[in-house]
Amino acid sequence: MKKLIKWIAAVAMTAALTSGLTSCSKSDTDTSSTSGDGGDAKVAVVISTLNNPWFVVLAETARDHAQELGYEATIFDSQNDPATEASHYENIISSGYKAILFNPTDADGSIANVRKAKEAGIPVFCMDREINATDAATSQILSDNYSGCVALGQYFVKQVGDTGTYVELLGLVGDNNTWNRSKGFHSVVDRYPGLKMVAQQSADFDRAKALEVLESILQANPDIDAVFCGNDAMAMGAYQALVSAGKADKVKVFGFDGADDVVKLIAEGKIVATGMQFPKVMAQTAAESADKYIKGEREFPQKTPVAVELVNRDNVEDFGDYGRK
Amino acid sequence: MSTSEPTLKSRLLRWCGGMAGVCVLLYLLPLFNIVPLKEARKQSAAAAFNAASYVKTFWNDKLTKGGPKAVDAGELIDAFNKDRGDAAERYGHRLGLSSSASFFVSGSGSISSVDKGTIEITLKEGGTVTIDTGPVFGNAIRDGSGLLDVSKFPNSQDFNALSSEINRRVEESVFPSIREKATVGASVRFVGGVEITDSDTIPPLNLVPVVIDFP
Repeated sequence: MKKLIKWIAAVAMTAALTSGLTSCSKSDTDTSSTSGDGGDAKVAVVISTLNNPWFVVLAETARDHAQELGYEATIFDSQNDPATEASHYENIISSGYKAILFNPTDADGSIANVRKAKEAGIPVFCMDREINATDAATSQILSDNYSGCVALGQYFVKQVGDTGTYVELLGLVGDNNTWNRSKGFHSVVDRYPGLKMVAQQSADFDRAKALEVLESILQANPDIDAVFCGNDAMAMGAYQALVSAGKADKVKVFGFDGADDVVKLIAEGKIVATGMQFPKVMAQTAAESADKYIKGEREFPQKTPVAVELVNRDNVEDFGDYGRK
Repeated sequence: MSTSEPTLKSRLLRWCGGMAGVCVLLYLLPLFNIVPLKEARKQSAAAAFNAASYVKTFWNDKLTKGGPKAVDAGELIDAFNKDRGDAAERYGHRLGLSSSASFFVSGSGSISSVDKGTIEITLKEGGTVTIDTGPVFGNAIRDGSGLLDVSKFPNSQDFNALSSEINRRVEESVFPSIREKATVGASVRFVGGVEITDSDTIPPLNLVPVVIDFP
């Protein structure tokens, strides 16, 4: 009797294992053999925040381009919260998405999510922000923030001169872009000992926070000559704070991103300069790479830096709509 | 009663043996380690990328000894005048989707002018090269050498730190001899990096020197 029970159990286990293996191999085949025109394949666009027009452009361009390539594309807003981002990844992995176009919330904190997707056979293409790993994402398409801010730093010295005081508003401290921008800027400006930074504070890439932070800094430092902001949302907030304080025509504001509202203010002579990133180029490149991956290509450069161009009053007419006209 | 006593004992023994086994396992494979804060800081500093030491080795072993293949400055100017796209592709390196190309160049000529912060060299075969001897910015040498790949650096801050360190080295080890020996008419040989944006007009080539000799 015991022998019979053992035999039945063995047969049942073998059957279960065989069916499991079959379904695994079926799912692997599905991933690699999805038709290139997308069919009903789904692509996820996971964005750090949609509370900033620049990221809205990045997200919508990625989604629209994926749709043009024949995929069903959905945007997930991480609201600058790594926990929300992790929960999006859980949903995406269990919902059969074929690729993720990803703008991470944190260079270190987001690595685990990318690895989970990789283990599930879903390729991840980072856009604009990098993760601190070269073996997790399939490819990373990133703004060359450092070089962009070297150019911006050189222009800053030309405009402000080699003596004066300034404030720096940093972005999210966990994001590499924050430090690549800051370091590129300081690699130039710190060479001029007459230029003194009187305050350096994070405003999280956020317009409202930048307004609040600069208002507070201006109380202790009312006579600054310039403000360097790690993105254009903060530049807009800083400019608003200066308008409220009646100092907008005395203090030179520099941003970074190439957001439309800042480009317009540069044309009006209210903001001095920004670095034009190309969110549409990055989003399109990421979507095209995902399409190629789904079609079977496997060779991608791990990192593709995208040039950042200086926008000032002399060349502002060449720029608009988040890129060159 | 007499039969339950040995069972209890043996159970107790088994339980003790099991606990001992778990203790040994936890000792060999601890679930967590407690590291003093000071030690943790030391470990993280040791793991941090050291751009100065990386560049020292790169400069001594790669750039100045044999070095990357350099294109002749006159040949590069000619190639640019014929077809700048082709010249960039044949001789240059582009970093990702970049609007500039970087080159590693060599050449010789004579100094035609020395101004505050800039010297100009007239090449033997014609054409001019300038060297700005003030603060050095940009990635002309890092990218022009073609030897460093951004994809090999998990954190791009480390890759960018290389440019700062290379530029600092140029200022400290190459510029002093230029300031000391550069006079109009002096013969000069050079090797270095050049970065040309797609909208630049050349000549002159603006050189960031790795080597400069006054034979």
